[in-house]
Amino acid sequence: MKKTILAVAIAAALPWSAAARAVTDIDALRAEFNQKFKALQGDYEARLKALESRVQTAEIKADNAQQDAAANASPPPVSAGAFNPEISLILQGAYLDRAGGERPITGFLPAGGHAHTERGFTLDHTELVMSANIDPYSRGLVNLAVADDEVEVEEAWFQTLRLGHGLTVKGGRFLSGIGYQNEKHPHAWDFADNNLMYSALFGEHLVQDGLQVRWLAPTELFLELGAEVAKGQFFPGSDGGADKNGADAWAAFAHVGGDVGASHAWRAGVSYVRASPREREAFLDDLNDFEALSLFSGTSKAWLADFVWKWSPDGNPRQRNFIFTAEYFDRDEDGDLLCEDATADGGACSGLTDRYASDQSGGYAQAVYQFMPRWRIGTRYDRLSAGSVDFGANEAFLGSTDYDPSRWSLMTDYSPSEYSRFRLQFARDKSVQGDPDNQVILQYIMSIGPHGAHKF
Amino acid sequence: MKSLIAFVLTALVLAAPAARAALNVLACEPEWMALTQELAGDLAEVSTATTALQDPHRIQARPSLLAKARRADLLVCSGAELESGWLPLLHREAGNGRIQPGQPGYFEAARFVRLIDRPAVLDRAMGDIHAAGNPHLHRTRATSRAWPTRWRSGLARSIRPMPLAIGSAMPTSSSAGRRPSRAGNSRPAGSGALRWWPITRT
Repeated sequence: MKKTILAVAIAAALPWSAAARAVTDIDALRAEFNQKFKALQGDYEARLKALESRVQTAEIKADNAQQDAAANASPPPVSAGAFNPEISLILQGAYLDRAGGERPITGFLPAGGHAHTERGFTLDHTELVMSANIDPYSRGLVNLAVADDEVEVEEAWFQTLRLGHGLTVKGGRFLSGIGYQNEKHPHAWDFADNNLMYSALFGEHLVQDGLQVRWLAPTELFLELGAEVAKGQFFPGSDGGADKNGADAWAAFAHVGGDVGASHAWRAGVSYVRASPREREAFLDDLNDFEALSLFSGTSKAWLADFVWKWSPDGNPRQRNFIFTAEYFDRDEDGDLLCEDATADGGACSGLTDRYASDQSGGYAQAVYQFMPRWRIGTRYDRLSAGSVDFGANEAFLGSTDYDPSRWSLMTDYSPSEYSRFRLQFARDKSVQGDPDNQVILQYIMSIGPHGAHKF
Repeated sequence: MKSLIAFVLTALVLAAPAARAALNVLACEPEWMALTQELAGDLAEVSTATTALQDPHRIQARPSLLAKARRADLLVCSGAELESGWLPLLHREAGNGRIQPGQPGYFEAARFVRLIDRPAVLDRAMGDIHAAGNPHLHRTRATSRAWPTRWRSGLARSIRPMPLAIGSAMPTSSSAGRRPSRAGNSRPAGSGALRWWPITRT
């Protein structure tokens, strides 16, 4: 090919004697040259294009191979807890400035749970949480509360993942799905201490050893129905009542919720709890100011209503957000109460068993505002109603009251990151008749390790 | 009575396919919603869990999201812990077996690419770091020519075998990118849907 070009070029360059003939010959040659040159150019361009596309294909192939190799060689980009359980430790401690001794809520049979009698520096308890998928079908979680000389199993359950049709079954020991705050662990509370409603109803929260079934409706509106059957050894149940085949406590709840625009979200619900305690222990101050042991046997039925409303600009809570929560309960207890005292030392109760019936209610409302990143302020009002309490013949030793316990709390907290929080709280506590108390709590909550996402 | 039963049965038979007519897709971020909508066209009803104004790290598993996840046939997310603050709750609490990790109904974009910025050391002293690597795929310009193709074909594979009605109507993988998109949306699908995404690195 090159030789041809050369020959043509030389031929074109050579002068000829006959001018007229030369002109036509040159024209013809030029045309031939142009034609061949163009053909050559096209040929090269085509080759170049073919080469380019081959390089590109090779590049993509190499890239794919590299990515495949990388994907095969390194762990897949899923959560860190995919194969190992998520293990987290919650450290919480506080400095409390408050009146000493136990402060049982006036007019209410004290519910077990954690009675915060400590003051000064306190470690509270340390939570150890482990959770992981067990297999494709279920997930498990254990939450141990560790304190001096005790390890308490707060939760230990499995939960189904793939039943479908909106159904989820949970079995083991779990925090009941009733109300709003019940499923929240103390480290997720918005205040340093429990509200009076849950203190009076359950001590800390309703814990169930049993089964829970929840069903989520396939609707635009969030609608969740749940039912629980449980052993019922925890308050408002008792060990005595739980000592039998079958279940001694059951609960049912319904929640609805949704969004209002992009900035608002809400949830509301009603719940019902029923337990049948036998010889449920509670210490009460009798009329002689002696601590009497009371044993209640009967039924305990409670209705709860809960409402929570959250706001954040455009639904983005990072900068500012606002949470309003309110819950209300009404509890009826009906049965027999035995009141025992050390009568020789001056106790009033004579070991008489007689009717006990109470109809009590109460609730709380709280608002928490994050006004800038990391900083929140909040206020809470608790109020319980003594309602009607009938001690029967024991009235002569115990005496009922119409005092309505209440408390105002004010808190501010600072969270350097989502794993740590410092909180300062003031409270005017009037939950004990004739003994109002001003309380100051400085609290820290720290989370070590991967900790699961919190519920709404 | 017989005619009534026959009528109810007929109504049920007729209503059943209608109820499943559209594939119900929940995307975690609006970018994935756009891509899914473009691939599935009118065959899918796509909604998004977050808007462009929301930080997908920080939103909560609101009741409305649980209700959406309950009805979803397909969940399309970035993955790699971007949504770890709320997505696990949708998986656990929605009672929907179709969208569980490992199921065809859960599309995790991070599984289709090699993540950059994977930290060599994991220590909270460095702040809240993403252990699996940078998961902000939806905000990042595709650094590899292969990414958009991978996502497209992966997502198309996820969409196709879903409900029977959709399965037969979905294009094969070779023509997935050329399927005509929704009326009024004339963006050339084959030219790479990812090009118009925000070109910001986060």
